[in-house]
Amino acid sequence: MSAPHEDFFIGWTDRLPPRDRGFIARVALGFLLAMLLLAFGLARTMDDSGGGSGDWIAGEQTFRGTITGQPYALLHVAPDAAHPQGHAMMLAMVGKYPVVVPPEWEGRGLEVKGWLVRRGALEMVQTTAEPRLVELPAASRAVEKLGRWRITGEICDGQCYAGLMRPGTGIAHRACADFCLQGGVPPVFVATAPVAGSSFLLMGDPSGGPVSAAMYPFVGLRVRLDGEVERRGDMLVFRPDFSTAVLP
Amino acid sequence: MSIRYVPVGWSRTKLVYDAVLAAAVVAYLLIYMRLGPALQPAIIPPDGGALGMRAFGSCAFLLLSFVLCIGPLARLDRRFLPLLYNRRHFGVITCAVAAGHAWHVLGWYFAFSATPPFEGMLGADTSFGQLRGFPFIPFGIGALAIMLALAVTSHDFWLAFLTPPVWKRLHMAIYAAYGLAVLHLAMGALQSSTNPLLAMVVAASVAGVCGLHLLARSVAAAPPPGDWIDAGPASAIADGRGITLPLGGGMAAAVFRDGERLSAISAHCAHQNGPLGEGRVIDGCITCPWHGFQYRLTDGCAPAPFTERLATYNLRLSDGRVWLDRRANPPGTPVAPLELP
Repeated sequence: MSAPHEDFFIGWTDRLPPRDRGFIARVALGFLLAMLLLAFGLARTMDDSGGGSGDWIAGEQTFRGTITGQPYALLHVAPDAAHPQGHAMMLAMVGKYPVVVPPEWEGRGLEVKGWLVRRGALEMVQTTAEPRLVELPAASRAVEKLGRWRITGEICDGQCYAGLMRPGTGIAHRACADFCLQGGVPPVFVATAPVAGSSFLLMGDPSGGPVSAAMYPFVGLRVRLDGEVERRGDMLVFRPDFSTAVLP
Repeated sequence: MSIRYVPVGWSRTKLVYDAVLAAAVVAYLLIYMRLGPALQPAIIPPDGGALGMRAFGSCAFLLLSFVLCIGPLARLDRRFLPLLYNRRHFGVITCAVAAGHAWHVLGWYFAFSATPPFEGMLGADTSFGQLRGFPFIPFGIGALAIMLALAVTSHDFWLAFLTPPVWKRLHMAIYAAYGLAVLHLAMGALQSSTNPLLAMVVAASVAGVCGLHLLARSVAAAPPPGDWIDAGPASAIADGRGITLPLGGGMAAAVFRDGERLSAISAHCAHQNGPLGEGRVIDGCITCPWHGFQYRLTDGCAPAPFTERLATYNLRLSDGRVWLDRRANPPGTPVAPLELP
């Protein structure tokens, strides 16, 4: 019969029982292999996070256009070859802050400096300095009413969705989106199917101003909403009535 | 065993144990954050902050699952016992990785604002009145808070200060932490991901942890009625070893054989409630399989200078069978060993 010490592990003696050494070595190796395989498997099968990104190579850029403040700050830049209808860019300050447009700036020329983040046709300037008023030729700020729509999609914060964070969508990102939106970052509605040619719509309240707190329970979820849609330049604005909200 | 406190009583086996754990954690994080995305050029990966959250979070969950399996595995197969000896280090490392996950969340999702990150995390999503989109972050905060409390109190100082029964009860909260971690994943990452592997890993983890615990529990038999319990034939107890007799109410006695003498003491080690009945008689003392705490056969007292004492039990022999009186003697009561003919 073996001595008790030989096949019985006593931690403070700092000796593994000889006949258990091989077993423990195999367990340790199996644990290491399991962790490596799980890391590889989980990383290898992660979902595509979407095409949002910042134009970091271009660095800080300067943009000029006509400013409107409702429902959120939009910079309407002059038409060019890529944007024959003109182009509306969302604005937010670096961090989770809005660009506040005083009433006296409404419709005037503005110069902003900042970083450009882009996801498809959606562009946002993250301003790094106080905007300044500039003299620009009067630009059209025509609003085209597109009627009442029933749209299914997800409410996202425009900053993260546009590319500041990836994926910037979904339930896992919901609290971050809430935090951004509470800070004043413009919300966008990402539709499951294009609406009048666009898959995302800037959101606003039916009263004309920013979206109310009724939005928060639905952020990051797939939701169906009814509301008025209008076109401002190349930007669609969706003003949903949250009493119609349905979680499909 | 030691009667003085040191931050960590390092030994070679502990160093190897911790080195294997550290290697597993570092390799997991590097593969998840660097190699995995690089090998999948067809997709756009998450940004660095989100990748860090996922890597640290999934690593912490897997470590928590593994560490919870050690206890039942050691009950089912004694060869796993060396893994249990340093289990507290495993827990502390798991807590550190979970804290890394929280650090990534606070530093990415809840930064860049005048609102302090922790305040932002607590106040951003408060839709507690709905099932779809129910805030999942509080589950993670709860799990991490429990793990932090257990990591802080994992040292032997706290074990002595709180007393073993209280300490053990406190550290059973790790199961609550695991449940909260599962809810955190189920209500958060699993709702966002279309990747079935993550759901499969979580399901396998829950099945493994629950299954092993149920299996280990089924090994323990129900106690028979009456004050005297039949412990079986004396010949069935191997020299230097013991058997465990359940007494009901979560209590158990251990009957040990040392040569031709039998003695019985409580089967619950005074250190961490370790299963003494699975220990050995070494140097005339019953030695706990978990951390090597020792008790004299005759009175259940740890040898000087240690002060731990366990309840003893009376034994009698009848027709070659050993009988144990389930009415325990006060801890440290001397009982003459039962001499075998």
